Amino acid sequence: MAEVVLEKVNKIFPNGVHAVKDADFVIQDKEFLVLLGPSGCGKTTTLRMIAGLEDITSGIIKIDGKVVNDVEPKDRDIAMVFQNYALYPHMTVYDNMAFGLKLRKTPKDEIERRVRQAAKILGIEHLLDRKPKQLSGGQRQRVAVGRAIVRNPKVFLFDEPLSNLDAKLRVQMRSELKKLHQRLEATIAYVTHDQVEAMTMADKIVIMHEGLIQQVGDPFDVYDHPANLFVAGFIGTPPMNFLAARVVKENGIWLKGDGFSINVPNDKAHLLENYIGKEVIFGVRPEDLTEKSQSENADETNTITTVVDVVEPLGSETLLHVTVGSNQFITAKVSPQTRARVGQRFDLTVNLEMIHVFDKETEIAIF
Amino acid sequence: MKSKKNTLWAVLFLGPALFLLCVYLLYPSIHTIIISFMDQRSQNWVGFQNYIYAFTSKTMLTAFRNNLLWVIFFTLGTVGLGLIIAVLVDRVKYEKFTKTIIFMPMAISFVGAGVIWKFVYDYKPLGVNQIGLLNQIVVSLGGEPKAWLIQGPWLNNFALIFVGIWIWTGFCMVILSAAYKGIPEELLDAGRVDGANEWQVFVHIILPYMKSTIGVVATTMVVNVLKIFDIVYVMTNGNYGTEVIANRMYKEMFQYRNYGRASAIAVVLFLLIVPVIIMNLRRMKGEKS
Repeated sequence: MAEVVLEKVNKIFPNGVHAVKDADFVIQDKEFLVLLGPSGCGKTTTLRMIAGLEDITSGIIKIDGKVVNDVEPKDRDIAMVFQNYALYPHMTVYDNMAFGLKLRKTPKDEIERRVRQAAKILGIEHLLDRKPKQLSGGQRQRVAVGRAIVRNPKVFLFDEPLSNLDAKLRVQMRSELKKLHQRLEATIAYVTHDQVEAMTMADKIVIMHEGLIQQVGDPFDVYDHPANLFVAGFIGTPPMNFLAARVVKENGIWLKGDGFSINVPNDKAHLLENYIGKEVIFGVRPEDLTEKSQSENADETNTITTVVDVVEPLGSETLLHVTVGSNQFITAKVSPQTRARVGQRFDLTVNLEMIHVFDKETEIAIF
Repeated sequence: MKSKKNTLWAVLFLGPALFLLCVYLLYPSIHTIIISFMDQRSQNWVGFQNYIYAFTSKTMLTAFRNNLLWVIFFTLGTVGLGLIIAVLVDRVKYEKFTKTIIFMPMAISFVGAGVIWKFVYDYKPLGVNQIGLLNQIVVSLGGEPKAWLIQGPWLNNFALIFVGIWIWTGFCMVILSAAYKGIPEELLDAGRVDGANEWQVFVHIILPYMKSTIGVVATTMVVNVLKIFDIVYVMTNGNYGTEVIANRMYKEMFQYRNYGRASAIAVVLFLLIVPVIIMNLRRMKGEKS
């Protein structure tokens, strides 16, 4: 297994689209790194550049310490699992998995041993004689993974491998891939637009938007300390609530906006010294808003009065879509025992330890 | 009652088509088979005499040999070149332009193409001004002019086959190119990542993926070339050992007025084509399913 390093990697397509801008990150040996971002953010292009399927315009890519900018995909010792599985339709499952080994002139009995071993790990031994069109989506997915693991490559690349599976199978495959990673101790780069996949599987997440890396960090890091407004809004379901606010100094530092007034805790207040009198964006996650009656330390410093628009019971929790002030909509994740009723006034308490403030101009997090 | 009504509808719908098929296809075919067993003027029965001629006469044996040459080299040439061009031009910027140029001969009538190439192959003895493009090139490179269409049996037959390839390669290329573009890019990428070079990707992934299309195109070309007539008729009229079955049939019919022999040759040609057409239909059915 090996380390992958990207240094100031850029990709400009012939039509002028600057798909990846100065990508700079390291996939440590045995690390599970997830490239996360919305469609068209450049994450798949980045993965394809690591694979060698896409030329890089500038920068350096190293695999296992060796610069691979001009190395053909076949010589990079990588394996890739594609979104549509890309199984060879005219070959049996066995031949699909053995293809890469045959090209490398691996002895026949060694191929047999490795294919059977991989098939056993993935539970597809009984499918080895079938053609891909005779398999279900989940089975094809396993074969695609099997084709990657028989080669025992330095790096595994996954390009949205679960996006074509149904929701239930996706959850199952997610944990299987995670287990596989632990078992193989593999270096993995995994592309997805699904933040749940990223949060559950990754050792490290790289969040991209419009070709730019927004933040690199472990799942808790990006969730609890988003670097900017985009990351804060992208990670988390339902997404973080944002409210326009002004920083006011009177008996401490306050965030005041249309219909709310929040006292910033002392340990964070000093970070807003330079913003006094200025507009900022106040962010709070739905789960950091609780029903006032359920909260022990609710007072005027941490309470927002709202009007309930929609109540969405999900069983384990209830989502409240409420209006703050004249025309600002936010979401709160509260206990299913809530007494909120549509159209009623409703007080929500903010967990002040978990609030976020962003610079309105640069959209960068102040805290 | 109901089934009677259904029969009526069936007759009403199928009737016109069946009638036309019988008049224009079935009747002429049967008639041709009948007169193939009769003499020159279709007056007396002659048994298998016409067929004995069709399978033993020197001209017909030459025609069979030439048709075989056409089937092998024309099919290999058109399908092979068509495939290579389809795969190669997919990677260049001026793909559409190249394809248009290569497809263009299809727009010319085969008789027209024959006339054009007759000029290209034209032969004048050494020392006389060459009006044939090919011989002019040969002479200006210091060579001796060749009688491309006269020197047989290989040179002139291959010169004719080349014209056929020139016309039909564009057609094969267009169909094979469509099939090639239908191969998911991911599949080729998977091959490359798996360790295949471009040649191995072509052999192990592209070719098997396009197998059935290649089969359909190849059998279509075989059917085409078994009936080859116009190029030969215009360029050599079957002289100098370039005779082919269809041209011989035409000659027997319209030059020698030998209806019996012409019909026997037509039946032989028909029997040669039938198995290929059946194969092609089966492939097409397979493709659909």
